Amino acid sequence: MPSFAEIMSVYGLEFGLGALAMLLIVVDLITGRGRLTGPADVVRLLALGGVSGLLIYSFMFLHASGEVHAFGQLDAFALYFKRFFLATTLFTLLLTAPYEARFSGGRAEFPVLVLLTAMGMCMLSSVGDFVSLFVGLELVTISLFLLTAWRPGLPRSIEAGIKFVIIGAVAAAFLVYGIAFVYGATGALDFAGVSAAIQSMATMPAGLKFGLLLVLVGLGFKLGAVPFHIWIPDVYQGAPTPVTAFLSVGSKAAGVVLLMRLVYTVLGPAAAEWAGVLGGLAAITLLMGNLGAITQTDLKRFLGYSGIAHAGFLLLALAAHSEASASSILFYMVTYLFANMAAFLVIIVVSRTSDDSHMDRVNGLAERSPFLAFVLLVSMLSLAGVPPFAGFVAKFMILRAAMEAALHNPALYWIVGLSLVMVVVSLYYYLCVLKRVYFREPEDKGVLEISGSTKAILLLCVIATIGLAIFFNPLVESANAGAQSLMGALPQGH
Amino acid sequence: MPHTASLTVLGAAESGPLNEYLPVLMLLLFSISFAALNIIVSWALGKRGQRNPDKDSAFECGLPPLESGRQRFSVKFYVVAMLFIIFDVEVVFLYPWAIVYQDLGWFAFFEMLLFLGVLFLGWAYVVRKGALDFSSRPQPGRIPGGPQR
Amino acid sequence: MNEFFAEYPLVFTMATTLAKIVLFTHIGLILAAYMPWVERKVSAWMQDRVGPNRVGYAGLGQPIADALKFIFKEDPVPGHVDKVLFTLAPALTVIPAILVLAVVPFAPAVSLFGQTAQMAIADLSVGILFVFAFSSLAVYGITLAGWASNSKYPLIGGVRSAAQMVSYELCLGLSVVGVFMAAQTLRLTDIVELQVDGYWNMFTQPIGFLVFVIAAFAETNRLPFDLPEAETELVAGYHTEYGSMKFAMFFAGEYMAMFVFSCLVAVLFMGGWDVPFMSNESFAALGNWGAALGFVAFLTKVLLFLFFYVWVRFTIPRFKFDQLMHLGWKVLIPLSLLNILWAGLWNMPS
Repeated sequence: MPSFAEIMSVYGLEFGLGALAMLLIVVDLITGRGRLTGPADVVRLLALGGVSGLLIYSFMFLHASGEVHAFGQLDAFALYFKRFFLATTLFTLLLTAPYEARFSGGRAEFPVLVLLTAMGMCMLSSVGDFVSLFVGLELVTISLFLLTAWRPGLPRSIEAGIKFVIIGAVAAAFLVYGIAFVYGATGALDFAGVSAAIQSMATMPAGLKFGLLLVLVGLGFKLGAVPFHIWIPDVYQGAPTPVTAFLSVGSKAAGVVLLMRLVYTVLGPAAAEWAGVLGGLAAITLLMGNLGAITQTDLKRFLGYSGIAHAGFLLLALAAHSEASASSILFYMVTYLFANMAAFLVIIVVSRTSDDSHMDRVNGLAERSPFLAFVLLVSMLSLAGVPPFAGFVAKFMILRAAMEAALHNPALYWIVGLSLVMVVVSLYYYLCVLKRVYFREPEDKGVLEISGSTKAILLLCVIATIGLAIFFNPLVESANAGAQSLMGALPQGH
Repeated sequence: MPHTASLTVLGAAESGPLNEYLPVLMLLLFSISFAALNIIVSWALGKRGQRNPDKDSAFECGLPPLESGRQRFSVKFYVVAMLFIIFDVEVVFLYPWAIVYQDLGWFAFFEMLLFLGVLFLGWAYVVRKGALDFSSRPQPGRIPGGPQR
Repeated sequence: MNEFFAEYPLVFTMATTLAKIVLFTHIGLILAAYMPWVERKVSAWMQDRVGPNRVGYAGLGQPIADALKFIFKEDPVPGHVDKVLFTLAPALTVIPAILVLAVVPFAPAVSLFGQTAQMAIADLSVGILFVFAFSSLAVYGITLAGWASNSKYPLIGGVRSAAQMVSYELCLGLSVVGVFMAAQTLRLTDIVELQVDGYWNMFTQPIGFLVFVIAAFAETNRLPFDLPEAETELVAGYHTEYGSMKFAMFFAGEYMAMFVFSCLVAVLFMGGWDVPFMSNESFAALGNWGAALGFVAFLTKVLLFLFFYVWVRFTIPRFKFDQLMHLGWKVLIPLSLLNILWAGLWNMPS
């Protein structure tokens, strides 16, 4: 049995998040039952302060360790993603501030659920066995169900919540069923044990393949890979916008982190067999995501489809299966975080009065608020992968890694080619949005007021998006370290 | 003593793991037959009355019943049912711990106290948000969709 | 005989099991039949009336007359009900009540023909879990009765009953955790034996005892918690549409449940078959006479608790529903958590 100190050395951050959530509930219960008491509400300040504190703590005092326990590990990869998830959570809480007036409920529940989701995500980044994996994933998923349906007055939100619950339950069923098959074939539930069992086999038995396929399907739902993407547009559109942002970055990253752990640690050398499956998924995901995004007229749905397209890129990197591709995924997620959070915050601001995220809301945004228009420009171009922005570096890294891998696996050339075509397609639809921003007449010519804090967050995103395109080295280095630790966890060198 | 086949089987079954439950099965059969017997006897020996529409209608103090008998009831009952599921599952976690807690020692005891603390916090939340108030005084700050808005 | 049973212990088990089933269930059923008489007599006594006195000596023939009347009355099944569920519901209240008796130890083990027979029908290692598994099934009978009747009062009664029983099941489940912590087992015989040598749990865990007793009243739908059949507002609650033997079965089920819960209170908190100043050794020394003594002691405790049921019924008026929920959720649950804390500190070996 692992000792308490061992568990805390890996999951200390999660305990912190859980304790923070409890603290928020206690404070809420003690200081009264009312709504938020304004921007300086004690519960909100505690949530923001706590998450920032944990983020700082994770940067200053948490160190990656090579120790692998049966229940999980805190390697550089896990640490990278823990920081990523904390940053995502912080952004979500910040995004909530301008949106919060529209919530009808109590004041502590929303941040508490966000914190619990974050706790699950952080846990997922260092899980070491399938049972913890399932527990963490359910913590994420169930909290997100609630967050999605957080606007009971809005039928769309309820609808999104119900759809999400049903799809989430189906995905969980796939996952558990797959885990059962994997356990049946290998007799182990911890990643190291499963990996060792796989390597000792000459060929994978059909039951194991089937089980791994089911696990892949279950995680595919989280990631939004194509045959399992159907929930994304409706849920993204119906959920409150900060939750959509959280879903699009955090939930996707949770799927990514698990898939990486599974592909690199559990499958290990056997992953070559799976490159075809992952590559195929990547191809249709790229195709469907990009083509689907063209016809969208709702900003949140649009970003949903664009998110599917990005999942395609991530899957392509997974199919490439090298240290460089793993590192490129880590880098990609961060650029995606900044660009996406900026886009969603703009949506929150422009749809402030109407709760409607139709694309007409951004018509003529350049006249109403040049700053917001510029932010959207940066964000869209970064998502499209246009040179002066971070998204370009990320896409470049993935494609380079994929080209290298294609030397051994020529089928990848086709997917890389397809992805290049799709980048052009994506440029078209991102530019369509920018056309509305700069060349259409606004419906409402009033000047958009932006609060100082919103401006600061947006500015941070813009600076990060541009800065990462130029000074990408520190981030690339830590992404490399993460990728190395992930590859290093292999039972034999690779 | 002759070794008949059936008795050998009975002797062998002694060590079976489910042997403990054989008496339960017998009692189950007994109680089912008791219930069935009651219903059958009353059906067989009871007086056969005539049917008429008034006798067939639902009880309503002698008046013809209005509306369906299956009416909607307060959402609070659903809330109670959900809370029961949550807390009951947590109680189930207590049982295995309670049985071995003397062996596990103080560390497990305080861990369980932590668990109970979280459980208690959940309880306090539910109480404070008024999910268990069955009187209909309106109070501010309810959870969305909860009872008594 | 001794050799035969030594060779075929299962035959012995089956034979004693049958005997135990007949004995224990009949104790329960006869008590269930005579409890209405006891209630009427005791209420008459408490209210300075005479009570039943026409059928036989002191009205002792009354339950038999009632039963005969129930059997020969018309068995009405109104046209608007769901006939299958309507018939199933009374059976579902009786069966679990009888089934719970399986794990109740009535006396110390008896030795017969060189074999030892536990005086519980089935001395399961998961005894108390078995109790909760089956006693909680009783709520189905009542809820189904309310639903199948397709009528307003039964429906309200059934829904209330479901809410009440699940709410108090929580306190019931929590209040016995302290007992496990003291005994480190779920087997009821072991729990009793521990109390025979040590203290009765009602003295070491007064809070748990109190919560358990209150919850036992609520689980059996007895006054002051008989809201599912509150006659002043719901006519007769969930069994409004019932008549004849089906109606009688609800009563049989309720009184059986009272008997079972009295047994459980005796077993879990009042030392089971323990007599003060006796130990397991002294019971064993007395042999089968010890078992007989224990049996009498156990039945005395059960009868006392049954009397307590009646006493409370004619002393405390019925609660309102919100008061009932308030008591169950906001008072008893924290109390039982407190009891766990107390039991943990008290029983931890130092």
